Formats: sequence, structure tokens, C-alpha cells
Amino acid sequence: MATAQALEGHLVLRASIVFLFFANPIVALAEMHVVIVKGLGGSETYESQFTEQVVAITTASRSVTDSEHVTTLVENQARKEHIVEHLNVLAEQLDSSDQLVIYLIGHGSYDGYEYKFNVPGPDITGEQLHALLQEIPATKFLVNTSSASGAIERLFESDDTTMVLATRSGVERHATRFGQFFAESLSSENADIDKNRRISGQEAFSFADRQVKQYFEQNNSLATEHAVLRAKGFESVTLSMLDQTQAAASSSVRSALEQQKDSLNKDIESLKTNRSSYDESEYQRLLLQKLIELARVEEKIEQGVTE
Amino acid sequence: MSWHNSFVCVLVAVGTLLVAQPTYPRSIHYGAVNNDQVEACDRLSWKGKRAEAMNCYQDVLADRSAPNSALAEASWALKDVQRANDYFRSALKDNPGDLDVKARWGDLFSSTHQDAEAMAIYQEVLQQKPNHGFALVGAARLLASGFESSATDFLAKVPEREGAAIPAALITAWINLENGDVGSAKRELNKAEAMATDGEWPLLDVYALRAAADLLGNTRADWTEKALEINPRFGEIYSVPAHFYVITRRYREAIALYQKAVKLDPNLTVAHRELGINLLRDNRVSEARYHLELAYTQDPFSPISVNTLRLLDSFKHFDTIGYQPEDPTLVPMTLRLHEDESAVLSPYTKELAEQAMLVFRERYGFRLKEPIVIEMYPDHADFAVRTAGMPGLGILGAAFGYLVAMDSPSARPVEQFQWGTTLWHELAHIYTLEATNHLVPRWFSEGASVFEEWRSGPNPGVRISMSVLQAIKDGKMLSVAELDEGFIRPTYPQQVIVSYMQAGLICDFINQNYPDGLKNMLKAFAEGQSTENAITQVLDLSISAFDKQFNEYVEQNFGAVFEQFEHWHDAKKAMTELLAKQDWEAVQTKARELIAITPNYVEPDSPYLALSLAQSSLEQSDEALETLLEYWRKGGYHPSSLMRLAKALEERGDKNQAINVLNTLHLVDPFDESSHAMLGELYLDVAEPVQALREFQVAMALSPHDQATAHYRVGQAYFKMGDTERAQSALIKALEVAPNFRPAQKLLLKVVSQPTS
Repeated sequence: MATAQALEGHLVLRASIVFLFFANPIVALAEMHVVIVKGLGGSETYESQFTEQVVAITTASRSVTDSEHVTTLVENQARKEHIVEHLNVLAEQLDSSDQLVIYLIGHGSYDGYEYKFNVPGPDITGEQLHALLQEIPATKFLVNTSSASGAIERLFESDDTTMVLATRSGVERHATRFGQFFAESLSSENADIDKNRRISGQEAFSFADRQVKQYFEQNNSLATEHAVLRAKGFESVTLSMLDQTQAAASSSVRSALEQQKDSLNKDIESLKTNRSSYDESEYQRLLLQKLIELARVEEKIEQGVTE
Repeated sequence: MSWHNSFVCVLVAVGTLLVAQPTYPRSIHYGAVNNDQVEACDRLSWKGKRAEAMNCYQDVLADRSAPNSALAEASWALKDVQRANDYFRSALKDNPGDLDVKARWGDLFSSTHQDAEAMAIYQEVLQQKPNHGFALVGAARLLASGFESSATDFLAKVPEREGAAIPAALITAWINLENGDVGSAKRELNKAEAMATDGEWPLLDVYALRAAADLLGNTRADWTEKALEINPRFGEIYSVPAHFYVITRRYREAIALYQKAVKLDPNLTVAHRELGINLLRDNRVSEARYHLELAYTQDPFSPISVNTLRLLDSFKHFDTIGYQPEDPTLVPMTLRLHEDESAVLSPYTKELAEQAMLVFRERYGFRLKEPIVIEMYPDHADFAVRTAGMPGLGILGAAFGYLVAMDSPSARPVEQFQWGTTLWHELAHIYTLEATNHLVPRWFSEGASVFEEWRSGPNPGVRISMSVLQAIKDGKMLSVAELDEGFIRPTYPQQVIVSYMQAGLICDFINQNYPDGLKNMLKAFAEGQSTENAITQVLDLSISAFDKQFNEYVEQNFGAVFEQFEHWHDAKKAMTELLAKQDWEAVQTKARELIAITPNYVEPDSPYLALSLAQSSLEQSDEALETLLEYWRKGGYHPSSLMRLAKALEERGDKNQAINVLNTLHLVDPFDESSHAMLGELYLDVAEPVQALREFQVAMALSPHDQATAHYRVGQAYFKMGDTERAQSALIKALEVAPNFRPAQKLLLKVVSQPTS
């Protein structure tokens, strides 16, 4: 019930976003843009699951970028012509400094020749998606959680789009679980490996990939999907903020303490990278020293105290 | 050793004799072979004159006038079974209607572990001649070796005045002895001896079984001496009785006899193999490997030897963990757990074993005298090989005395297997076996274990499926005096499980009505008393009076269920349909009807679960919680339902009860990291940091995705325990993964501000 209500509210908002988008072309922004497409569920169960995922992803996306940069295409808005239209507009609006994250939530199919993402009306093919994305100059991240999504990997071979695919090939045709876990990761404390209160693309993928594997192991069943992460840079994109107030503070306040914090984080990273060049006890001593320093700096930031 | 590939060969053998060098002996054939030349050689062999016999068989092979069937027998005796197979084929090509030769061909397949092919050949013979004695005997032997009760159907058809009547009587005696019916066995042996004497066959097989009958009946005669007078190298005079020690679970006595058998006849492959397997049951791994490798060398295609050696190879992936309980009066234990699971399973296994030792010592008045060994196998096939040498075993655990082997919780779907309860069951066996020097009848040992599961186990509750109750209602229970047969040679598909439940109920009945009855029964068994004598002596009842009283107890406890079986099934069906329609009000009504009839029914399709689901769906969360709580109290173990219950209890603030529920959950599904983390947090909340640490360490062993939090939790537990040094170490690990992890940073600052512990 809660989910349905959430989606209802979201749909209203989505409609206004789409309206605003078409009515007021936005000038180029060096920011993150997110497009979420919900395909056909085909049954009540999948409709409900996909809707939950779309709501979770939309909420998460709004935590990392302005709401007007988050577009959710569901039901008739998810028809091929609208997707094409929207991506074409983005191709005009965005430049190479922007980031674009596209989520495809739904079922896919592959007949041995052609991948199709199932939407109301004619499906959109893998080739069509590829062609549309090629026209967009931004740094692109495509998260395709559909069945058979692995079929599109070859289309992007010479492309720099970072892709997360729920299956490793087009022959993995069963409805996937990956999307559910990926959406879950965006609000999960467990997915936040480095505890920076942000879920990076890499963290979301790792979490979902592991959950899928566990699902099949725990059910003693043969895995019917194997997720794929193609290309690099997914760790650099933040898909969700777990704590927006902190994010706001850290993005707006550039105090000396924060510089000190960044510097200490770099020191710790460097120490970890060069661990083999230290005696283990020396490494532990230095690590502890840096961790304590960092903890004290964080404490001061939290308390709003400056030296 | 290359037993790995050989195993595959045995499995794929279809229709073609693949065995190169079997050493399974050509036993005395009692007229199945009709060739004077071969029989003359056989008689030398049966007297232990091996060299002379081998020369004799060679002479047969050199005789160009010898028929193909004789050449087949000679080749077989000389261990060239491939050639024997070729000669049998030629013989049957020349004379397809020679059913005697065809039956012997079946025997050749039987002797080389190709049971399905052998049975197909016997069936072919029997289609043409339904009362062919040796084909009937061959088929019965195969069935009897698998404890199939249908063996007796074949034996009953063997014509009385033919040579085949002798092995038929011997197999019948064998079956009787396996059933513990020494009197009937002796009568069959008398028949066999008379017929064998008339036919001038050596009495070796008769003497071996008489020795076995002596062993079971606690009598003694000079059968060994008589057999060795005939054949001084007749190792079977020891290995045959040894088999009956094995099936009565007296493994150490069996080992001693097998050792004598291989000393007398170092080529007695079966004895080497069985010796190896039984040494393993006594945890004597190196000695076991030695004899199994010898058996493999002599017969590389025995699936039992190959499987067991492969299992021994896999032991390198198992951790061996020694543990001495804090209570010095308890014996030490050794755990053999798979390296991927040992860190998770060992804390619970140790705790359960310690608890079990305390409970059972009190109940049965017996203190263990040796360390115990507990093995758990993540692959059920490995456990089956460990237990029976072959995959395909339908049990969960086995106790061989001080050694317990069982499926690990990962061997089965979590919703079907309460590993903690199974361990409890097997540990109870150690007491009933060792307190009686393994003389306890099977029904009592199994019954006591089931009873302990229900009454003292980690998840108590009388769990009997409706199909078993139906069988009980239908009068399928046996008299207590015959109950062992229900385990060993079941006559209907469900009989083994019905026998388990009946035995459990009998022990419950004794415990309720006769103070110290179980303890005193065990003492009587230790003195070698039969079931009948023990019941008379301890309970002062005849068997018939006991059966009568027990049936009254069953009626008292389950009579109401029996009367409403039809109603129960109708209501269950209706409830299932209503669940599909999500008609929650109606589901509640039906579920309550079912619960009223069977309040203790907590199997995976329990009405409690349906009721709880209906209540949740109608947003009656308090009622749903109470229903699940009742389900759990009755012994319900459905993992996701228990997790739901624990979360609801935690939300309600009932942390101690949530802890209890999670502890039950871990004895069903110990591999869910989140439930360990949750339990650890609850333990911290109720100020039990030592228990919390155990849970956090188990969670850590499950390689959690969120390593930083997992280390932080360990640090928290150490900090609460006052161990700041270990707390600091854990926190460094947490922050090494996630340097900005605020809770860990805060705790680290607290830790470093305190003096080192």
C-alpha cells in the first residue's frame, strides 16, 4: 500500500518534470542527469516489483542531483517514441562535463539476433538504444536490469559507456532479481562499504551482485543470471546519498578542517597502497595514528568547532 | 591412486563387463555349475589349495574340448573376468536356451558390482523359467544385500529339492540373522547343512553363518575350527560374523574379526574393504586408508572402496578442531568440519555437545569414557559415503559409537533440516550405544534419540507428520518386540519413518509412566537382555501387555486427531484454496479449525503459518506475533517465519525472547550473516557481550559484504567486555576499510582514551 502511494505521488511529480522539461529547454549544466525507464511488468507481481524499484531509484537519484534532472518514464511515457524523444533532447542539452545515468527497469528479450527492452507499444531495441546514447556527449552510465540484457554488451564494445547488465548474455532469459537488489542497495547501509554515506555505482553493483549470488545459493538452485559490470569509473559516480544533510554540509562548507580531512584520507589511502613497504607493526602504528587524527577532525567538524 | 576416474567407469557401465581384475570370490555354487572338470578345480579351491586349483583351472583353459561355459568358469576363477564374459557370451550364442549358463553369467555380473545388469539377466532367465532356482537365488542375493524385503519373495519360489535350495536356505538364514531372529536362522542352517551334506558340498558357508548365529545368540561352538579344518585360509569364517557385528553397530568387535579375516587370507578383498570402512567409523583414519587402498588394488572397480577413498582425499578440506569442555568431568571432543563452515558451526556444535552430555549423563546414568568425534558434511553424498560407502542414503546423521557423522546445514534446503536437532539426536545415540556396549536394540536407541529431540532438544516439540499419524491410525505400528524389523527391512515405503516415530513415542510412554524406566531399560540391555526380557524385568509387563498399554497411550494422545483425519484434510485443502484467493478472514477460520485438531503440527505447511500470514495481511500485527510465538513454542522452525518473529519481538521490546527465537533459527539456518549480526546486537543490548562477540565473530566468518560494520561490531563487543586491546584492533580493521566510518571513529577515540587492558 505504501509503495502504491509513493508511486502515485511520484507519477504526479514525474508528469510535471516531463512537462517542464519539454516546455522549458534547460541550458547545458555540468551536473548529473538521471533517466529511469520502467518497462512492462507483464503481471501484477512484476508490475509491483518494478514500480518499487523505480520509486527507490528515483528517491535515491533525487538525493544526488536536482529533482528536475531526474526523469522517470513509466506507463505511456515509457513508449519508445518518448524515450527516443527524451534522449534526443538530452543529446542537445548535455555536454562532456555532464554525467548521465540511465536505468532500464523491466523485462528484456533476445531472439538470438536482437535485444529488445519491453515497453508499451513497440519495444526499443539494443541497437536503437546504442545509437541514441552515442549522440549524447556526457559521461554515460547505463544500468540495464532486464532479462537478456547481456545481449547488448557487444553493441557497446568500442564505446566508453559504463554498463551494468543483469545478465552476462542474451540467453539468460529468466526474469532477473538483480534490479530489486540494485534498487535496494541505494538505501542500504550495508552497501556503503566505505561508510562515506554515499552509494557509488561500484558499491551498488557489488551489493546487488552478491545478493543475487546468495539468493541462488540459499535456494540451492542453478543461477539463471550473472551480472556484468563493463568499463571503469563506476566507483566515481555517486548514485545515492544516505545522509543528505551531511552531504549538503560537506558540499557547501570548505573549511580548513575538511581540507585536513581530505588530506588525512589521502594519507591513509597512500599508507594502505604502500603497505608492503612497511614493517607490519610500523604500518599498524602509522595507520592508527592517522585514523585517530582523522577521527578527531571529524569530531570537530561534527561539533562545528574550528581551531 | 586413481580411484577418481574409476568411479565414473563403474557408474557408466551398461551391458558390458568393464571390470578387469575383480577378486570377489567365486563362492560355493552348490550345483549351479555343471561341469566335472571345473568342479574338481573348485573343490581344490574350496579346500584352500590355491596353487593346485589355479593349475587345474589352467588345464581347463588348455583343453580344446572344454565347453565355453567351463572356459568361462575357469577364466573367472583365474580372475580374467573379461575373458569369462566373452566365453559366457559364446556359450549363450551357441545355446541361447541354456538358462543355467545364463544365470551364471548373471552371477559374474553380480560379483563385479554390476547389480543392475545382473538383475536384468536373472529376470530374463525367470521370464523363460519362473522357478529357475539359481536365478531366483541370484536375484534374492542382490536384493538381500540392499536390505530389500522382496528378497524373500524370490527365495520362497526356489524349488525345494534342487541344489539352489541350499543357497536359498543360507540367504534366508542370513536375512533372519540380520533381523536378529537367531532361532529361525538356525532352523534354516540345519536345513542347509542337511542338504549340503547330502550333496557332498563343503559346509564352509554353513559354519560361517553358524558362527554368526553364535555371536548374536551369545553361544559358542567350534565352527571356526571346523571350517579351518576344511579350508585353513577361509577368511570368511571371521568376515561373515563380522558383518553381523556391523549391523548391530558393534564396530570394534567387527574390526577385530575383519583383522583376523585378512590375516588369514590377505586376498580377501571384501574383508579389507569392510575393515577400512569400520576403522573409519572408529576414527582410525590412517589404518582405514591402508586397508581401503589394499581393497582398491585388488578390486579397483568396487564403488564402495573408490567412493570412500575419494572421501578420505577430501578430508584435506576439513578442519579438525579439538575442544575440552570447561567442565572437566565431560570428555573432550574433536570436530571435523569443512573449512568453509567450521568457524560458523564450531561454536554452536561445541555448545550443543556440552549441553547434551550434561542432559544425557543425568537421564541415562552413564558417563562417556572416550572423546567424541563430530563430523559434518556439506555434501550429502559425502555423508552417505561416510556412512554406507555409497551415495543415495536417505538419512541425516549416523552415530557409530563415539563418532557422529551427519549432513551439515548446507547439505539440505534450510526449510527441511534442523541440524541442531539432528546433532542432538545423534549425540543421544552415543549414550545408548556406549552405555550398553552397543547391545541396545535399534528401536530403543532410535526411540531414545527421537524422544530426546522432542523433550530435551534445542528445539523441543513432538513433530509427527500427518502421513505418519495416518499410518499409525491404519494399524501399521509393529509390536515392540518386532520393531527393529521396521528399521532394517521395511515392508512399505514409509515404514522406516513410522518406526522412528513409534520408537520415540514408546520412549515417551515409558518416561511418562515409569520413573527411571529408560535408564533401567538401558541397564538391562547392557546386560544383554532382549527387548522382551528387558520389558518384563524393568516394567514388569509382558510384551502383549506392554503393546496394549502403549496403544492406549497413543489413542489418548492422538485419538482425537485420528477421528478427525478426514475433516483435517478437507479443512487443509480449503485453507490452501483460500490462501490462494487471499481471503484472509476465511483463512483465519480454517487455520484455527486445523490448529484445534492438531495443536502440535508445526511442519512447513503448518496452519499456524497460514494464520499468522492472514493476521499480518489484516494488519493484526499483535495477533500475528502471538501466533508465530505459539508456533515457535511448539517447535516450529520455518526460518523466514522465525526471522519475522524475532524482528517483531525486537520491535515490541522483548529482546530476551527475540534472542531465544534467533538461537532456534541458527540451529536451522546458521549461514545468514544478518541474523547473527542482529542477535549480536540484541546480546549487547541485554549486556551479554561474550555472547554478542560469538555472534559477531560468526557473522564475520560468513564474509559479510559490509566488512567495516562487521569489524566495528566485534570491536564493540570487546569494548563492552573490557578488552580494549582487541577492541582497538577490530576498530582499526573497520576503519582501514572505511576510514570515515563515524561510529567506529567515535569508539576508537573512546578506546584510546582508556588504559590498555
